[in-house]
Amino acid sequence: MFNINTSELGSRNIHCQTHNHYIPLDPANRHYQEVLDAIIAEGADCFDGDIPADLQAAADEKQFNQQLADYRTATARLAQYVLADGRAEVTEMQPTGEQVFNEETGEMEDVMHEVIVQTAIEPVEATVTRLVYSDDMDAEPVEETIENPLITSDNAERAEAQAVVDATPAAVVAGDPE
Amino acid sequence: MTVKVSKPAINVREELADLRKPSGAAGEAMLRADTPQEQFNLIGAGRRNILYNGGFTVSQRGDYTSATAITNNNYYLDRWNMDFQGINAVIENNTADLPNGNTVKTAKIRATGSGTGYMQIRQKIEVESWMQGREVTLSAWVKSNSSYPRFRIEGAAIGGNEDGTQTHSGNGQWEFLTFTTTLADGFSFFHAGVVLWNGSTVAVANNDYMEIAQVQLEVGKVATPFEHRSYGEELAACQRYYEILAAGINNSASNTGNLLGNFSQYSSTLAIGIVPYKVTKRAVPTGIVQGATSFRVYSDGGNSTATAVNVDGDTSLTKARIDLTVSRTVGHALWVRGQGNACLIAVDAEL
Repeated sequence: MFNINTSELGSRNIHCQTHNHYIPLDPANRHYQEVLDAIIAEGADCFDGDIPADLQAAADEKQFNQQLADYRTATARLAQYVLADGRAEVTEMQPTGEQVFNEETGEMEDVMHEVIVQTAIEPVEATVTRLVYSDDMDAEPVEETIENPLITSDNAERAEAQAVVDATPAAVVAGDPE
Repeated sequence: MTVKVSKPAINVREELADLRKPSGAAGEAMLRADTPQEQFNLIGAGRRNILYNGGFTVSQRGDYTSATAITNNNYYLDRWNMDFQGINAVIENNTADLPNGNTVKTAKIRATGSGTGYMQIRQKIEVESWMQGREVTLSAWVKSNSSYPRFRIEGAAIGGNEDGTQTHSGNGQWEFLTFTTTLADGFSFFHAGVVLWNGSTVAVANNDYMEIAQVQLEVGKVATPFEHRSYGEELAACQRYYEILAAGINNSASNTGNLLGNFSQYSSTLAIGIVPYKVTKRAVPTGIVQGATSFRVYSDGGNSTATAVNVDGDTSLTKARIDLTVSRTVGHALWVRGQGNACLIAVDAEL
């Protein structure tokens, strides 16, 4: 539990009643950051009295930045191609640096050529077959076909990233300049 | 016909003999070096250990010669932070004889129950610009009855958190481990430590332990011999992050003495003192007060005991302002000391 400690001369810091720590209002102090974490996690429950406006604003900013960092990480993960689908080749026409004279328009024009800007990647095998051994030493192993573990982990990571994106407040998404 | 024979200025036989001088790979590397700077780097000369208290000689917070229960994310031996999950453990600051012939202080972490998790002793390091993107080598003597202990750098260039591939064999003997990696660019701090895990949480049995000594982190891909520093130098370095201002007469946490400083009575119930630190702090520190009602205030041939102690918000990188709730004559000078064994005032600017 925290409270604001204000001296007779007006100076302020945060008093941690649990540990009898006097925490400065300095973002470089690790205990100050822990106070912000407690405000984010517990809200007013961690404070004896009202949370001062400057502390609440600092906690809100920290939470915003954490959510924005998580959102960017998640969207970057989702932007990667789906292993089960592979990736199509993408080409575009780009100037070669050479120019020719167009007699019809009377102007010099770039000579264009097709450039691969994204290589194609084949999808991974949808399933894999493995041998399963039983506890019976004499029994023959049996074949089992399962989903390719690469696809399983890819799907799980994508679902996790999608959950982060879905849980991100609209204000954080709107505040992302990227 | 006259044949003139002249003796060359150099003795060819001696030159050939010189070429046959035995030299190892390191010697050859020194000979191939183009500049003294290159030779300097090859032998790792100069100040090398980036870590503080890598020899575990400084322990301002307490005397851990007997096992002390660990709280996660707390500091015990100076600069070393405990990072635990799922396991209860104790820490000891022992003395041991290493295979290299050195008698040294060690940090021993021992599980006090079984569980699934990990236990790590690590140091959070302020990154200076010259460290960014540098190849570094972490080395230490490690003793364990588990085959899981390995190095870990949090803030490495590849993958952020990187574990060493070399692990202790778990044979209960001292083994010298090393780990070379490259630090990331753009970090303001990173962690270096020894962790008992295998890339994820592991089953830890009661009394599983890891004991480490002579931990060194240095630039380059080679672990050089441990850089010994004097106690005074190491203590001063550690006090950038933690310093005891005064402790009780017999408080085992410190031999700093019990005198807090000179104060003056500001009002009928408030005495104020400015206590300078020995070392400028990394950031404005947290004031830690224990046994607040054990500080005694002396003036006018008498004394009173403070009923409260408050490290004030005016506290800065270089000085603490301490407020004592005590009744003495307004305007008089006072001096203050810690009276009870358990009392302590310290400042903490750890990362």
